[in-house]
Amino acid sequence: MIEVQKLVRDLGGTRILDELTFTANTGEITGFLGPNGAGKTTTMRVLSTLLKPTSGQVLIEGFDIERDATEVRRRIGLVTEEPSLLDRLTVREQLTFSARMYDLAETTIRERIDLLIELLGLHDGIDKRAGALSKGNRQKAALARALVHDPPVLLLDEPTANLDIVAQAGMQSLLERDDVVGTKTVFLSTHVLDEAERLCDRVVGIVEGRTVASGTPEEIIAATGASSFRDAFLGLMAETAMSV
Amino acid sequence: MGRRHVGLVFRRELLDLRRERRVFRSLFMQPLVFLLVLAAPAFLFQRAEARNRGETLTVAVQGDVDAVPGLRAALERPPFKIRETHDAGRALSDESAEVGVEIPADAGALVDAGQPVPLRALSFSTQDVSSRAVPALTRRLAELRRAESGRLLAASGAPASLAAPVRLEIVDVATTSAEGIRFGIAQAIPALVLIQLFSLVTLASSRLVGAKERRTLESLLVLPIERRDLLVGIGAAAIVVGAVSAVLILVPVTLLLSTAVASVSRSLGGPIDVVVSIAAGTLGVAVVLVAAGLYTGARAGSGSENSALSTMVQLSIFGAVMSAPFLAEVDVATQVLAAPLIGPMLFVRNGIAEGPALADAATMLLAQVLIALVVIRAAARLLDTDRGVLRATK
Repeated sequence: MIEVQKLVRDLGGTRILDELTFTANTGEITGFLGPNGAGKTTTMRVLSTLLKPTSGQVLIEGFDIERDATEVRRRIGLVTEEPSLLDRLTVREQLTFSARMYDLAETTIRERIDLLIELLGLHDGIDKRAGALSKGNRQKAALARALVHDPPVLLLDEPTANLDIVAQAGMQSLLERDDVVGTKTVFLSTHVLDEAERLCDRVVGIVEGRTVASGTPEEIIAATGASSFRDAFLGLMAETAMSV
Repeated sequence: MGRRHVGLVFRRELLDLRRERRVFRSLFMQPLVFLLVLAAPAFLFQRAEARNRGETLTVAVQGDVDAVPGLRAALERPPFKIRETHDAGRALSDESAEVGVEIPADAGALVDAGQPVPLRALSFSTQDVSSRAVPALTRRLAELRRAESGRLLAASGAPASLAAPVRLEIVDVATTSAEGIRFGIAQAIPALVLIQLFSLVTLASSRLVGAKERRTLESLLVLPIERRDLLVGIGAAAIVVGAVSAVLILVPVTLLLSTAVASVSRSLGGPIDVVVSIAAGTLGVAVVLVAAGLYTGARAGSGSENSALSTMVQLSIFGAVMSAPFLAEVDVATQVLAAPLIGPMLFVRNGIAEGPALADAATMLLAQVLIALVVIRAAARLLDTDRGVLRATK
C-alpha cells in the first residue's frame, strides 16, 4: 500500500509537487495520470526514494520513505520509461545481480529467474546482452528485474512510453495478468488515457503537482457527468488549467 | 560497510568494464604505445653507448714509441691500438686514427738523463669520436705517469705512494653509475604513473554521469544498499582496472629501462623494489584519483559539466604533482598528510631509488584510503540530492 499525505517537493526553487495526496491500495493497479510536466516523474522518484520530499509524508507498506528508506527499497520494484539496463551485460547477469542485492538465496534466485522467464516470455533474450535486445524485450527485462525479488509494491513510470504499438500491447497484457502483478500494489504513471482506463482499478489525476481527481474510472465519469473516461479526464485537466 | 553488497557492485562493474573496448584502449593500448615510444630513445642510447664502448681507438704515434718506458704497453691496451706514422696530424685528418701522440726525437736521451719527456696529444675536435678519445688517452697517459713514477720511487727506496698519494676515479652519477641510473628512472616513473592513471578521474566520473544519462543509476539507487557502498564498489572496479593496467605496463618498462641503461655501466638490482614501489604507489594514486572522479561524477549534472569538472580536477592534480620535487626533503608521513597525490609519487620515486619501506607503504596506503573515504562520503551525500538523478524532469 502507498499512502501519500500533503507531499511537497521543490526543485531549483520551483514547486513541483504541491501538497499531493493519494492512496494506492494493495491488490490494485492505481493509475497516475497527468499531462507532461505535471510532476509524475518527480512523484515516482520520491516514492522510489531517489528524491527526498521537501515536506509531507509518504508511507510504503507502512514504512516512511525518509526514515526507513532501506526498508522501502526492499519492498519496491521500479520500472522507468527507459529500461535502464547495462548494454554489455546479459539479462540473466542483471537479474542475478539485482536478486543478490536483495540477499536472496541462490536457489531462490534461480527459481525466480526461471519463473520470470516463463511469465514474461524472455526465453530468447535471457542470455543475450541487453544492448542486443529490441526495445520491447528490454522493457520486459526491466520489468523482470523489478519483479525478481517479488516486491509487494511495483512502481511503473510510463513503462510503455517509448514502445511501438505491438510492444505496448505486449507490456499492457503482461500488466493485466494476475500471475505477474498478483496481489501487489501497482502504481502506474502514464499519460495515455486508454491505457489507464484499460489497466487501472483506480486513477489519481495530477496537474501542476496537485491531485485533481481520485477514484475508479467509473466514479470519475459519474462525478464529471461526461460520456467517457477520456472526456471526463480531459475536462478535469482543462478546468484545473484554467483555475491555475 | 556492507562488504557483500560492495563486492556485488564491484563484480558487476568489473564485468561491464571488461567488456568495454574504450576502457581497454585508453588504459592498456594507448599508454603501452606511449611508453614504448618513450622507451625507444633509451634503447637507442643504450645501443650507441654499447657501440662506443666496444669500439677501437687508433692512436697515431709519431716518433719512437719504445723510447718511453711503458708507453707502447699503455697504448696497445684496449680500446687503443697503435698506428706508427711519420705524421700524426695527417693521420687524424685523413681519419686513419682518432687521436695522435707526438714523441720528440730526443725522447730516449731525455729518459736516460732522468728528464721528463714532453708528449703532445693531438685531437681532431670536429669528429665526435676524436673528442671522446682524447680524455681516454689523457687518463691512460696519467696512469702511465703514475706507474712509472711509482716504479722509479720504489727503485730508489722511497714509497711508491709518493708519486700518487690518492687514486681518483671520476664518476658521473647522473648518467653512468647504477645509483644514478636508478635515481634517473625513479624521477621519471612517478610522472608516468600519473600519466597512466590520469584517465581514472574521467573513467570514474563518466561511470556515474553515464549511468545518470542512461538512467541506469536509478536502478542502482533503488536497491537496498548504502550510497557509499555503491560508490566504493564502482570505485574499486575502476581502481583495479587502472592499477592492473599501470602495473602491467610500468613494471616491465621500468625493468627494461633499468636493464638497458645499466648494461652500459653496472648491473642494477632490485626488481622486487621496482614492483613493490610501483604497485603500492599506483594503488595509492589510483585510490585518490578514483575518489575524485566519483565526486566529480556525483556532482556533475551532465556530460559536458562532467568534462569541465574532470579537466579542472586533472589540472589541479597535475599542478600539485609538479611541485613534488620541491618536497624531496620532507619525510613520507608529512608528504602523505600534506598532499594525497604527492605522497605516493614520492613513495614510488624513493622506492625505486632506495628500495621501499613497508611501513611507509602501509602509512601511505592507509592515508590514501582515508582521504578517499572522506571524498566518497561527500559524493554519496550528493547522490541523495537532486544531482543524484540527472534529467530531473517533472
